[in-house]
Amino acid sequence: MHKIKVEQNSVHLKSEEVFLTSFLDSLKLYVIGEVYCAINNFQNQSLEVYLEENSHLTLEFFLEVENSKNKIKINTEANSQLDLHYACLYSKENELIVENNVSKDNNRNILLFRLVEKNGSLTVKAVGKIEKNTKNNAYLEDIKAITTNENHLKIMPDLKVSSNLVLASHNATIGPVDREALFYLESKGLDKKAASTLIKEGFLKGVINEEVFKN
Amino acid sequence: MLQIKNLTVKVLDKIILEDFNLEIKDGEIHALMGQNGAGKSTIAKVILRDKNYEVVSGSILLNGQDLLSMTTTEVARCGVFLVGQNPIEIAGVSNAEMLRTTLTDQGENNLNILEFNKKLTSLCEKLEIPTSFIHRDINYNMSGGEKKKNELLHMWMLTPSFLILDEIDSGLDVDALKLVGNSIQEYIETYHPIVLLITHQKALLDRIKPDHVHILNHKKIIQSGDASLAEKVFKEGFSGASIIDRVSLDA
Repeated sequence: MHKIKVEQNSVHLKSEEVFLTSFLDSLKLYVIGEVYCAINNFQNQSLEVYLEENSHLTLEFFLEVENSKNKIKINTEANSQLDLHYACLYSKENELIVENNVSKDNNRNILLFRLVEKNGSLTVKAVGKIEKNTKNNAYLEDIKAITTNENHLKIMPDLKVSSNLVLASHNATIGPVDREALFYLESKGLDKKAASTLIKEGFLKGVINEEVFKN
Repeated sequence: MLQIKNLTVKVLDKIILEDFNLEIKDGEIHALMGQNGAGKSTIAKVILRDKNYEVVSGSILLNGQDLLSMTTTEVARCGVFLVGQNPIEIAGVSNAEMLRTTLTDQGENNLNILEFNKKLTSLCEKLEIPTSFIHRDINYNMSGGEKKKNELLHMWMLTPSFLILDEIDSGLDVDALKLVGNSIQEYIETYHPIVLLITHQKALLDRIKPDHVHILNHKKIIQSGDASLAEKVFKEGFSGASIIDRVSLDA
């Protein structure tokens, strides 16, 4: 996986694995072929993705930021697949809007969100638009979050399905840190804070490539 | 020395242990036996300060220190180590990560990573598990036998002075039981810990000879003896040995 520091508003990726760092307010990503793209430092930014026909994009984010409003807009051509992995640790006052527009056929969209929130607030708005006259599309949105205060985490799925020939589903689970796992680690001698951090980070690793996590 | 005096414990308003007493001197091995549901595992969880178990009265002292006033972490740092019947899986947290964090938290600020890795590698060989276990997630996708060996890997790294082995023999095949039993025996001979062995199995007690055996029933220890008491139970069963019946009549 090679690293790219983005200095222009658009990036073209073709069958490659990249680790992007961008400090620009907005970025357009054009994807052809099998692409893995991890994005670092995603803060107060807007990302627009264009997924070409027969392409497969795995898009990963790992964030440890505060006071950030991010927006991701996805446009898919036919027969494309998108795997969006968004892992967020210790978010405070953060907002994420994802808009996924499916306007062609035979697309597979899997949006995996893993969020860890602590003493702050995080709002996720996930909009999935499946347009009329499209067929054989699958849209799966899976949000799992662990949080210290369930009231501080808002998840707002918004599926706008205008076609009958689509498989669309949404799962969301929000819960506290697993007490059994916490007890186990404390019984090995870890203090509560260290144990809790390990569990939360472990939870995120299920979504994010280890290399991205370390970076 | 461990001293448990007049301990009464409840879970969700149900009394599980009542007026429970047990004393284990330094370096002694005590086996706790009893029918399923008698409360054997409860005592392990209470010692480790599991919040699901409420102590109504009594005391637990380890070398004069009041364990009931401590958190789970503090109890563990007093040298208490529990291997449960079915160790839980923690996805995303590796053995190395957990052990490194624990040892550093416990004051080994200058933890030598090279020595740490070398010791883990050597222990993996001893426990007949692949060295890949070092970086595997804790007990994740491991078989019953692998989980128990993985727990022993933690034990050898953390060198506790008080072992609570709660049916460590459950789910082990003959070969794994032999290895686990021998490893614990070797640990006992090396570090001379206090051992509380909760078991139903003769095979384990054949390898780890207890100094004292206790039978738990009706929420308390109803009979204590030497290793011959375990032999009697294995031969005749709890009721066959008239242990339970006699106590029921006494009660």
